Parts: sequence; C-alpha cells; structure tokens
Amino acid sequence: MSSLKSFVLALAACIGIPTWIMAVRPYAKERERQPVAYQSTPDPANPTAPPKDPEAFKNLYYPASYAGDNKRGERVYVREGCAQCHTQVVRPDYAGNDQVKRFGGKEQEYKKDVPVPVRQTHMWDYMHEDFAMFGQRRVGPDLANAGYRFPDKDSKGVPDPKPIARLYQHLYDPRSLEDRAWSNCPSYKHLFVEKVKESVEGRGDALQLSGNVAPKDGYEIVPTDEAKALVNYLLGLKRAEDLPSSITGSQPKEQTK
Amino acid sequence: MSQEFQTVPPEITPEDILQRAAIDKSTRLPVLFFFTSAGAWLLIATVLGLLSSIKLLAPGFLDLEYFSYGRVQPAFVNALVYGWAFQAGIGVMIWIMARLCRTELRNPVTLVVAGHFWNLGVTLGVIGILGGMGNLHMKLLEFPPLVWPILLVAYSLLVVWMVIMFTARRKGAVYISQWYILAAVFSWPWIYLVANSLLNVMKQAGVAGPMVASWYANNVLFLWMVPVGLASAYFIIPKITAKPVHSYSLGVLGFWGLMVLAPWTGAQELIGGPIPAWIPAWAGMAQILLLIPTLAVVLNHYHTVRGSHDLVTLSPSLRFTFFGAIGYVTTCVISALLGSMSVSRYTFLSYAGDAVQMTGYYMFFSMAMFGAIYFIIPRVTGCEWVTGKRIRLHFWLSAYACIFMCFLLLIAGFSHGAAIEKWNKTFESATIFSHGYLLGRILMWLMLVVANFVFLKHLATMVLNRGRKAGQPTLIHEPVMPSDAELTIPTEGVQA
Repeated sequence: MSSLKSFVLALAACIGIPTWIMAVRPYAKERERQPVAYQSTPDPANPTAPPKDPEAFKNLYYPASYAGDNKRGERVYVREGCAQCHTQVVRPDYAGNDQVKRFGGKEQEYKKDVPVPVRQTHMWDYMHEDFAMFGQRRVGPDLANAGYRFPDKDSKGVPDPKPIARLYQHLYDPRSLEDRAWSNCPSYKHLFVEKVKESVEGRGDALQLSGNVAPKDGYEIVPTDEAKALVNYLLGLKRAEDLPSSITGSQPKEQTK
Repeated sequence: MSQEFQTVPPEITPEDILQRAAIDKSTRLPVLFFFTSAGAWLLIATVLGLLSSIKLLAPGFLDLEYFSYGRVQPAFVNALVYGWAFQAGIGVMIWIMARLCRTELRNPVTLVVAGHFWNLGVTLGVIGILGGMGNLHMKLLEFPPLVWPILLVAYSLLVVWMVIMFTARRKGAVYISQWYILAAVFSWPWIYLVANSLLNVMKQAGVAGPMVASWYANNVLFLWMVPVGLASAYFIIPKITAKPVHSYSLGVLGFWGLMVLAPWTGAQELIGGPIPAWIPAWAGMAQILLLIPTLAVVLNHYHTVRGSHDLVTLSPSLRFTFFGAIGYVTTCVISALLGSMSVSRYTFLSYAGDAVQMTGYYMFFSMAMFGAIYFIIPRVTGCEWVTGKRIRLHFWLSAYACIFMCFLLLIAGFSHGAAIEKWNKTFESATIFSHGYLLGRILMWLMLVVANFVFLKHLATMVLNRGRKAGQPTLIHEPVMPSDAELTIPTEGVQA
C-alpha cells in the first residue's frame, strides 16, 4: 500500500504544480485585476482625493463599465455556440496580421490604401467577463471590435438605422443579404417571431425583408428580447479604445481624458 | 511499485489458465455494459459529426435551431469524448486491471451503477447542448453546468473501485499498464474538478477562462486518453507477439516523461492572445519536449513488434493497436508543430485544432480502443468474432477516413488561416477557398459512418451471444501456411 501511496504522491506532484502555475494562479491573478487609471500620477494639488464628479470618475479608469443587459446577450451568444466560429482576439503584429485585417478589427480607416492598424486586445478588455470569448476557431470574421462595424450614425452624425437593421437581418438569415450569399453562418430564425401586422407601417422594430425571405402578406418578422439582447451585446464589443499608458507601456496621443 | 515493473512474465500454470477464465467471467457484466453504451454513443457521435461537417458547407441543411453548427459541433465532440471514448476506455481499464491484478472482479454492481450515472450525465449534457443550455464557449466543458457533478460522482465510484481492486491484487510485480491506468484514474477527476470549480462555480475568470479551458481540454487527451491508450497497447502488443516489453528503461522514461510534461501543455493554442506571453510559450515548450517520452514509447513498441510484423497483418487487435500507436506519434508531432510561433501565425484557432482533435481522439485513441475491444470481447463473451472480412472492412475504412480527414483539416487550417492573414483580401474569398476541404471532410465522414456501422453490427452480434463458437480466434486474413514452417498465432502466449 505504501508503494501505491508513493506513486500517488509522485503523480500529485507532477500534476499539482502545473495545475497551480498554469490554471489556478492565472485565475487568481485575474480575480485581483483592477481597473487602471488613465492618469498615472495623482492630482498634485490633492493626491489622495477621489474625483468628485462620478461621471468623470467613470472616464478616468479602464475598463469603465460593463452594461448589465449585455450579460443576457452574452448568454445567448454562449448557448448558440457563436464562439465555435467567431473569435474575439486581435493578436499583436509579431503573432499575426489581425491588427490590419479587414473584419479583423473595426472597419478600418485607410491612408493611401494602407489600413490604419487597430490596437491589439489586452487582458483588461475582458476584465468584466466570466470567460473571455477568445472563441474556438476562425470560421467567421473576428468580433473583438464588432461594435464599431454597426454604427447608429453615419459619418456626418445623422442617425442611420441601416447598419443595425442589417445586423438583425444577418441573424435572421445571413444569406438573404445581397452580398452575403456565400456566408456559412447559420440562421437564427428562432430568435424572431412572426406577428400579425397591426398597422400599415408595421412595428418599429420589425425587419424589412424582401425576396424569398419576406413574410406572408399581413405579417411581419419581429425580433424577440433575446435577439435584441444579443445585438446589444454585439454592439458593445469595442476593444479599440486608447489604453492607460501603464498597461501599454507607451504614451497614447490623448492620454488624459 | 514505483521502482519497478516486470518485463518478463512469470511461468504459466494450469491454475493460472483456470483463474484467467474465472476473471474474464467475473468482468463480463461491467465490461459489456461499458462497451455497449460506448458503442451506442459512437453511433450518435458519428451521426452528429457527419451533420456538423455538412453544416459548414450547407448551413441550410436540416435548418432547425437544435442542429445549427454552433450546437452540433460541440455536441459531437462531447458525445465522442465523454460518450464513446471515456466509456470504451473505462471498459478496457476494468478488464486489463482485473487481469493484471489477477483477482476476480468483486462488486460489479458498483461499476454498473457508476456507468448508469455516467450515461445519465452524458445524455443530459448532449441534450442540453442541442437544446440551448450549454456553455458552448468552453472547450470540452460545454455540458450545461449541472452535469459535471454527475460525471464526477460516477467517475469517483470507479476510482474507489480501482483502488480497492489494486490493493487486493495478487502479490507480484506491477506491470506498466497498471501504472498508466492508475495515472488515468487519478488525473482526470483532478483536472475536471479544478477546471469546473474555476469556470463553472467561481466564474469571473476573464482571460484566465480560455487558459484553463485549453489546459483542461489538452489534458483530457494527454493525461487521460494517452495513458489509457498506452496501457492497452502495452498489454496487447506483448500478448499477441508473445514477447516481453523490449526495454524497461524506455518504459519508465515514457511514463514519467509524460506525467511530468503533459500537465504543462494546453495554453500553446492561445499564442498571441491577450494573456501573459510566457504561458503559451512555456506550454508550447512542454508540448515539444513531450516528443521525447513519445519517442521512447514508440521505440519500445516498435522493438517489441519487430520480427513479428506478419502478425500485424493477421491479428485484428494488433493491427488496430499498432495503427493507434502511429496515431499517437502523429498527434504529438502535430501538437508540437502547432505550438510553435511561426506555425501558429496561420493556424491560430483554425481547422488545424480540429485536426489535432481528430488525430488524438480518433486516429490514436479510438483505434487503440477498437484493438482492445477486438481482443477483450471474445474472452468475455466466450465466442469469436463472426468473420475477419468485417474487421478488415472496418479497419480500412476507418484508417483511410481518419488519415485523410486529419490531413485535410491540417492543410485546411494552414491555407484557410493563410487566406485570412491576407489583410487586403475579403473574408468571402477565404470562406469559398475552404469549401474543397470541407467537402472532402464530409466524404471522409461518410466513410466513418459506414465503418462504424459495420463495427457496431459486429459488436451487437457478439454481445447478443451470436458469435462463432469454434475455438480458433478470428483473423483478418486466413494465414498462408508456409510449407516448411509452422506458423502459430499465439494470442495468449504471455502471462500477465
């Protein structure tokens, strides 16, 4: 029996030490993580005082907050297996081209045909998540910065509902979008319900569908609360904000906000 | 026992032969229970795997919410791992352990109860994934959160049983297969408990979440499947070739090398991700160093088989086991390759990860388990496999399908990854580019469906006691008798 004991002890040492170093300790470090102040040095006049204005306080730290409704959308994202095909990682340039890729980061700005790189994702970007959605394979576009790709205003600041309506239609049936016939993304029709049209113009949130996916006459396709939560979650995926210099180790252009 | 294991078997006495028959008889109930339920899950996993591979090419096929790619793919992997691989492995572990401890199996009911709990857990889990309750972002931990305690309780019954069995063994040196089995018995509940307590109970893991999940998923392969597969190989290869294990030192190196290095691996698939860079680097290094114990094991097996290569063509068990050993090397080489920086630039979270899974779970582990099942079932049921033709068909279809599937997925990982890396190309071109590989994968899955159907029909015949009653073991080919030499097929030549 003592030989079994020594065998088990040796085994426990072999597996226990890596368990601590590769799993438990990174986890404990992650639990200790605190939001980082943009201003690395305190206010010289009054070094210990917290900012008086709560709004200003929110903008002084990264990450600022995590909208509560996004958690519901995240749950839909999880249970539908979106992470099986979509990653949420922008690798640094030594590991891959993610920073300059179309659909990799946000919809890129171009300077003379050369894309302006987005920043790589950082540990703080996932601070408020139960599990960072790095994803399992890149069959679909990366979603680390998906929120920037569906603006609710156009470049002049005029409200524009089209990009978000397009996102809803993508969830309803990706291949019904005229330039997405090649997509192999599943359609999530069960996140939508067909309702009788109550007025001529229809409900405000109904999908504008045409062609072979159009609903029957007198009916319209309306997103459920789950679909709305999922879209809210996707619109909240923005990981290209400037980081405090204590994280990046460099001085961003506008460091203080 | 950690100091030595035997390479030379003791003399066989007539009592030993009688006792062996008694041991086989005593293991009949639990072993057949685990093999049949594993077979049923293999069928389910094969169908789900075919469905998920079709889904990537034709997402409109069978357009129900329960069968979207996002749900079918994890359901397939979990059914394959927890339904088929674990139960087949547990059956093999029980039988080999009983034989090597040379004691009759007591308390078969404990094992059958554990088996029922396990099946309950896996059934709830797979239905939960398809029904939209799973944690589909955690690799190999996709079952709904209520399932993991059920699996853990079921497995701990097995752990208790194994410890009792081992302490009640007949005196004598401990064989290397027992080391591997004990390692598998103790390590899986540990990593499963740690991963689930961190991710499902304590939560708020942030970027530590994917690290823990990758660590767990990789170690299901290297701390559970590899020990069980090698335990079976170390048992079957000397048995059928009637030769002792070639080298004691290589065996020790292979075992402790695996145990020291494997628990560090896993995070290398996140190279470049937003985690401390030393973690994937360290994991990738461990994965590359793991090639050393792998080489030791393979050399050991190669030298044990040397001189008896004709047996590989004749004996179904040896042929599947030998193929599984090749699958083991392939798995380790591919894993080491993907853990390096220059390669992961293209294969980061790509189809190449599926290639590692298919190589590890199928080309190595499932093939080794098929070999063990072809060996064990006739001894447990007392009748022989019906015909070698079906075994031959099963072998060639499976071998062809899994070699080509792994090859296709690996190339797809590289080239699809490289297509995405081109920043000035659209995503459309990369997607259309991958269609050829995905079509090839569907064809390979169709072959696996046929292969597994043949195997399961054969298994059902045996379990229902309709096998051949005649004495000689079934061979893949009828042996060609050389006129001047006597060819014997010693299937029970080595006492263990």
